[in-house]
Amino acid sequence: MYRTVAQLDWEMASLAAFAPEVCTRFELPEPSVEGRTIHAMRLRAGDGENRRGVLIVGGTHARELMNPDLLVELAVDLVVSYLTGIDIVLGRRRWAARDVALMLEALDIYLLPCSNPDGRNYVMTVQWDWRKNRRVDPETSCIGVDLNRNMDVLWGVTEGQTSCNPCSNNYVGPSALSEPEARNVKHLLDSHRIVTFADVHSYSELVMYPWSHAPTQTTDSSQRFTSLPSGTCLPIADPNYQEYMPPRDLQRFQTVSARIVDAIADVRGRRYTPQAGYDLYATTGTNRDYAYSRHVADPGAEKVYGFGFETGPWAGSAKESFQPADPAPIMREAESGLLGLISESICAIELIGSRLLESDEEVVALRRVRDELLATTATGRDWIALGERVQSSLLGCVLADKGLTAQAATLLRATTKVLTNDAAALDRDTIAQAQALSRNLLDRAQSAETRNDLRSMQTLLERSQGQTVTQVLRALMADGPDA
Amino acid sequence: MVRFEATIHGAGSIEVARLDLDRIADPEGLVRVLVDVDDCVRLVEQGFEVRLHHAYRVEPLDPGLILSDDEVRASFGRRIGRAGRRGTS
Repeated sequence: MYRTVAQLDWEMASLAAFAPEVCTRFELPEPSVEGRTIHAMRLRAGDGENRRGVLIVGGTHARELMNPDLLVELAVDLVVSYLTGIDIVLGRRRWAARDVALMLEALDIYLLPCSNPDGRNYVMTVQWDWRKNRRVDPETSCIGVDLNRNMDVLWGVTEGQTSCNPCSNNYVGPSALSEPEARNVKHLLDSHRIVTFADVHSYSELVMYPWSHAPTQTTDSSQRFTSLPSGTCLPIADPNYQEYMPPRDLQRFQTVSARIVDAIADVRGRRYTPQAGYDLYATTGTNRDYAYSRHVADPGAEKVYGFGFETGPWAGSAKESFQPADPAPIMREAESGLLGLISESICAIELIGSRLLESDEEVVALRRVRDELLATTATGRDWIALGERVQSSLLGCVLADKGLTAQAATLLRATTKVLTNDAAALDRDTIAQAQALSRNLLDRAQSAETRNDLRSMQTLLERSQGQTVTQVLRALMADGPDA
Repeated sequence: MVRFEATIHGAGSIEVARLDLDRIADPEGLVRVLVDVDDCVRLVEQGFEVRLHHAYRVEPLDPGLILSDDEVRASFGRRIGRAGRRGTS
């Protein structure tokens, strides 16, 4: 069962009225082609400016009906859990209220449940399989632009399922970002510090990430989309073209996708497939690729990890797949996947730094080590992945316990002091602090994977005593956690 | 008016992309599309085999799948009831 555009708006307004300290509903700058006001929500709790932001968009393709409902229900569940301290239970997966609170207190979560309200209204009142917005092309009288082809990344390059024909269901529009609904998504990316983006579609049970116009490669950084012409209404000229992505970014996309897949499977066992967008079929001008591409096109822009969900399975027909009679089980598992994505967007170091330290010096130093050193080798990236796994599993525990939080902050401060001096050796006290924290975390670790990760860290600590920072980093980049 | 859910055979992905069809995902990687009669004629004339699987009237979503205002209000009330500090608007 599905909500109308008006009902979606009513529910957003009601939630914001009910819990204004957690939920704000706001109007986006541009109404739809048919003049409908489009609203988004911001969910956040507690203090703190310039937080990391997550933006989740639904309803881009009108006939993929369940996703706007899903995003509104996600908002309600987050708010209710925060206000009551009650866990979010989705089938067999339980999201602890403590972890939900952490999401709301660490991040700004922006939800745009229905980015294409004209299309949704048309589906409900005229044609059930409508996909695009309702722009009328003056020359052909054909109607609609595919909003997931209208974004400014290789716009108008007709690779795969992308078309310059105004009568096509994959019509790219008359120019990049020609559509107000697409510009609203750009506005949200421009005006907030978004670090994670998801565009939620149906169907096929996929979690997708860039690239979509060509296969991804991680070795030749000269192959960038910025050197390709756009607006050609032709496919990419070189049929063997492959788009570059730094290995660290690909690893991050793959590890986060894997955790999303696990969070979905926990609900009722459905296992989504993580893959690059291109593996479904080639496209250009998509939301997810646009979100990620922005920092490549403009090196001053924040890097946004852009994901796409395809919720729900093939159900034997297009109609039942796009619009199942009972979408609730699919919505529950997709909600768990989105909670997984939100959770993965928290940065422990940044959070502890902003809460407990006076400046961001420590955060900047550690980020530099991560991005400029560890990320440059495969084994270094394995250590990064290990750290992210431990964070994901234990950050809630640490922040809920004042003693552990203080221990983590002290260690962070001591580590940074050493990191800023390449010749400094890791002293006995710092190692002992790290070992104590690690032991405390081991006591609280729920999963075998987390316990193994913590033991790898303990082994590393034992080896590191008396070594300089340079020596430790060299070892980290040469030997992975399993060495 | 009627639209068909069809699979197209004898066409590779590149050819299908050039045909500007409303392609939808297929679990077995087939070329599955939503097409009208004119599309079917065009495809057959170009030598493709078109297998029709479902016929759909061009009509709105089944009204039985749309929640009533009362249902939306009741569902929202139930969900936030647990937090119930204030009334709903």
